Amino acid sequence: MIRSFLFLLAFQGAGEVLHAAMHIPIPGPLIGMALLFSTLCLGLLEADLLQPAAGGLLRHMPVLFVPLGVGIVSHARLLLDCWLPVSVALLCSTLATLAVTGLIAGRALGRATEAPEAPGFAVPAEQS
Amino acid sequence: MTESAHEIAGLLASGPLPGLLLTLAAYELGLWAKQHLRSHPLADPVLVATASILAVLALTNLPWEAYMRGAGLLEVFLGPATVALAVPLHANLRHLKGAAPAILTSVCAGAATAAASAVALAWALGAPEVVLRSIAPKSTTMPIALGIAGEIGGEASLTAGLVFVTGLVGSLLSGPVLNLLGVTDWRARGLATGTATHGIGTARILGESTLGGAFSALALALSGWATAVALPLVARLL
Repeated sequence: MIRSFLFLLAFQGAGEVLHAAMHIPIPGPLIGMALLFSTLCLGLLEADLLQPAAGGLLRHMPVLFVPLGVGIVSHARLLLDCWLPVSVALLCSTLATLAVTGLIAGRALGRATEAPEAPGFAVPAEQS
Repeated sequence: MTESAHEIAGLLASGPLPGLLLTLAAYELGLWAKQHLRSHPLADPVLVATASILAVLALTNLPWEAYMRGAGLLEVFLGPATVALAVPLHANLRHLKGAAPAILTSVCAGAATAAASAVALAWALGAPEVVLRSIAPKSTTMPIALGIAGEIGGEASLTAGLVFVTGLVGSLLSGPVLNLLGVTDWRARGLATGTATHGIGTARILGESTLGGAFSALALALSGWATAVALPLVARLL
């Protein structure tokens, strides 16, 4: 658990360093994700080593967004002032984005039947 | 007696415990609601948790700052969780091979649609310029969106709210909308979800399909990168 968490933090740290040192306009964690992906692809690190922390973090990832949602109240007034344009824009734009991406991807990937689930990594079902 | 109770309450509220406790309890409530009201589209753990916390804060007069002292600790884990998205991506590596052109085309088209349609609609309906600049990166993941907002003259706190609402609304809508459009391929569903609804939708689709989650994580990263590069350039031209 500790070791796998350490690996994730190390890759995030490497990403943050690259972000700051090379003025890449991409946040550190996303650079860290790309670095970890490359490392796994090159076979320099076993995915199983990351499983303990990665599995738990990904399974419970939604809870990490809750404080951000509560944070909305701190600027509720700005949003309330122009709620109509904002809600129409958010809703229609999100629908359009889903449709454009989904339809183009579905067509371009070919009408493949449901691709099989990959073994090796699975997010276990929530246990209560 | 009541005085010491007040003292204890004050002491607790000055530490991180109430915010952390409240967030995890509200999320458990959301998971319970999802499990028992499975058919209801609004029984989403993030939505239920956020709404119940806002209700508790309003009812108990617990200051927002006191809540954030504890809840803010959770945000620390967003970084390593984002890095961890590389693991399902790698596990589905064989599904990526040969799909690169389809992935790049659909994600870039989606990212352009997300930013352009949001700005155009908000502008047409008379939103002020600061809102236009804040809404442009709304479909990208939170840290990227905040970075872009700073770059193009948006308001960071406003962008944070818009990003969250987009992710939440999008994650509730993506399943039904993609069903309606007949997009059954989990790869395409993942790409659409990641492009339109960033981490919140990715976190949700991961619970339904590892393959969909992997493609959603990929789309989240690609669309974020594309938007971070393109939006500041476009904003400079306008």
